[in-house]
Amino acid sequence: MRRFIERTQLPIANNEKDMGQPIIDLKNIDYIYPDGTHALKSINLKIYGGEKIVFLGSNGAGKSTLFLIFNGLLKPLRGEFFYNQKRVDYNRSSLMELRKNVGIVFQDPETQIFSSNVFEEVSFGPMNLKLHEDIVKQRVEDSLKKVCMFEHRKKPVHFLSYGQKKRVSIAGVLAMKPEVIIFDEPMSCLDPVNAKNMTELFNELNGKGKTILLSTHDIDFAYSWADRIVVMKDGEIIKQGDAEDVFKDRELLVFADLEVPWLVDMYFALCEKGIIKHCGRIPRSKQELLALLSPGDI
Amino acid sequence: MLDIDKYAFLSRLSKVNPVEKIIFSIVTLTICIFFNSVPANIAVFAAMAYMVIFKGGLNARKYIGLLFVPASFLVISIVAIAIDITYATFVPQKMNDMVWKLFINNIAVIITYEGIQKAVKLFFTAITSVSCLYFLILTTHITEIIMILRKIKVPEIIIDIMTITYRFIFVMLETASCIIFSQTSRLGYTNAGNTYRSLAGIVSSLFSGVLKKADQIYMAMESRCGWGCVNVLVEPGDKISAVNIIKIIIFEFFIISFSVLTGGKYSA
Repeated sequence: MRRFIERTQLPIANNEKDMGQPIIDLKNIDYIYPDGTHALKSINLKIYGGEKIVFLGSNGAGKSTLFLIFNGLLKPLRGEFFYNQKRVDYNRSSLMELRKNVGIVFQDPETQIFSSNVFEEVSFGPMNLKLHEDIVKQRVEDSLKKVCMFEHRKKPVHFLSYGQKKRVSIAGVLAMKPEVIIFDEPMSCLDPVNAKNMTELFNELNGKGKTILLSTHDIDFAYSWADRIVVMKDGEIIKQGDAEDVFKDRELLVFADLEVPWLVDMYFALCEKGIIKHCGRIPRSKQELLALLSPGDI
Repeated sequence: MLDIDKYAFLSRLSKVNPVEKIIFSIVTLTICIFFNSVPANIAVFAAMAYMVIFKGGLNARKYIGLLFVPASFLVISIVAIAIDITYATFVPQKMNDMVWKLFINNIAVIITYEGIQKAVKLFFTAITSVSCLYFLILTTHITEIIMILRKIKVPEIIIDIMTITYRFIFVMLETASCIIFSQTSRLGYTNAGNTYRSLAGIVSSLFSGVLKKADQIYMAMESRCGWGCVNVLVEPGDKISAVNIIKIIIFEFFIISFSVLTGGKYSA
């Protein structure tokens, strides 16, 4: 129980206490695709080290474009991008520095894996960092172990299942040891067991001080996991704040085409029926809600 | 193509160090071509078949089926070698080793004893060479072969092209099979007319689909600090086993002596 409270207090701390300098700082970022789609409209966003941020929004809201901006794959049309207070000016050395520190795991592992052998695929990133081969080998082995793919390291990629390919693509990014890891819809097409392992991996990485940014359509997961939620619509950030803050705002949810997490619905329904009393804070997990239902057990 | 890929991965010999297999296959191949002795070639052919079927665990029927692919081309070409077609005026009056002849007006179709001998020898050399290479590709996965090529310092650009081409074969096949499924599920292949239309659809969408995937993969490579070249670390393999190398040397020695002993009769 204490762990949950500690975790849920984090976002409040984020807002109130001075978090130091942001690790990523976007100022008035605009991006327009060659076909004229205005994908990002003056985005301002500060991200601090160690945060767990979920980006929500319907398809085409601009989440993926924003992620590509974070990694320097797209150069904004206007606006400034600071990484660790240093302005990214899109020359080779600043992009190297940025991509070394901000890793991105794409939604479809098929579009990320280019090598036909698992070990070689994972070694690509660290080799590009010009590390010594022994260090690369160590990193590849460690990251493959972290995603439970070590025993498949010699397998050709096309013999792997979708979930395994996904894990290989994650290992490929982990091996570069980035400070910030971006996951573009990491849970899509994963079975519940894989999705659960993925959540554990996120928490483990975050526990080691990594900043995790991800996009998802799983509202319940976003609600119970995120420190901060960023809601996007039509290329704009229409709201950001902690989970409770975002999901209490019914108008916003309707506007952004988001569902209400079942926990929030259930909590208010139970309060209305008088089964539990308002306690000021909406529970963030099933366990917390159950604890409210039987207060004697706490 | 895909079957071979699968067999190589599933072969019991796939765990053997690829360097040993490459040495075994290439050295034997060179000896066969160099000595060109029919009995020695038959022996090598049998040895390779034994290695693939009994040591590697490949179904004999599948192996024979695979051999039929080059063998059919081979038979056509040796027929062409055995039969001489020429102008009748060029044929000498007395030809000792003529086996069969046919004159059509001015054209002569002749089969000579020498031609048959040449054809048979060529057939065995070719089929044995094929069996040597089959041994390699049916027991060693292409990723391992690429790995070895990288180690022996084949120019990087060739290796990069091989790596990406190989991966894209599968990307393309997967894309194609998705499209075929989606077309079939919507009755795309029920008659000749819509079959043609569906095929045209595959060709165009496959091309654009694969180009798009290539773009995305390039982007993903860029995101990991890749700047257009494929730097990867080759996992150091197992040590080369001295026992296997000795076995290979003994085998090659046996084949060389056998070739020399039988070569007198047949060698060119």
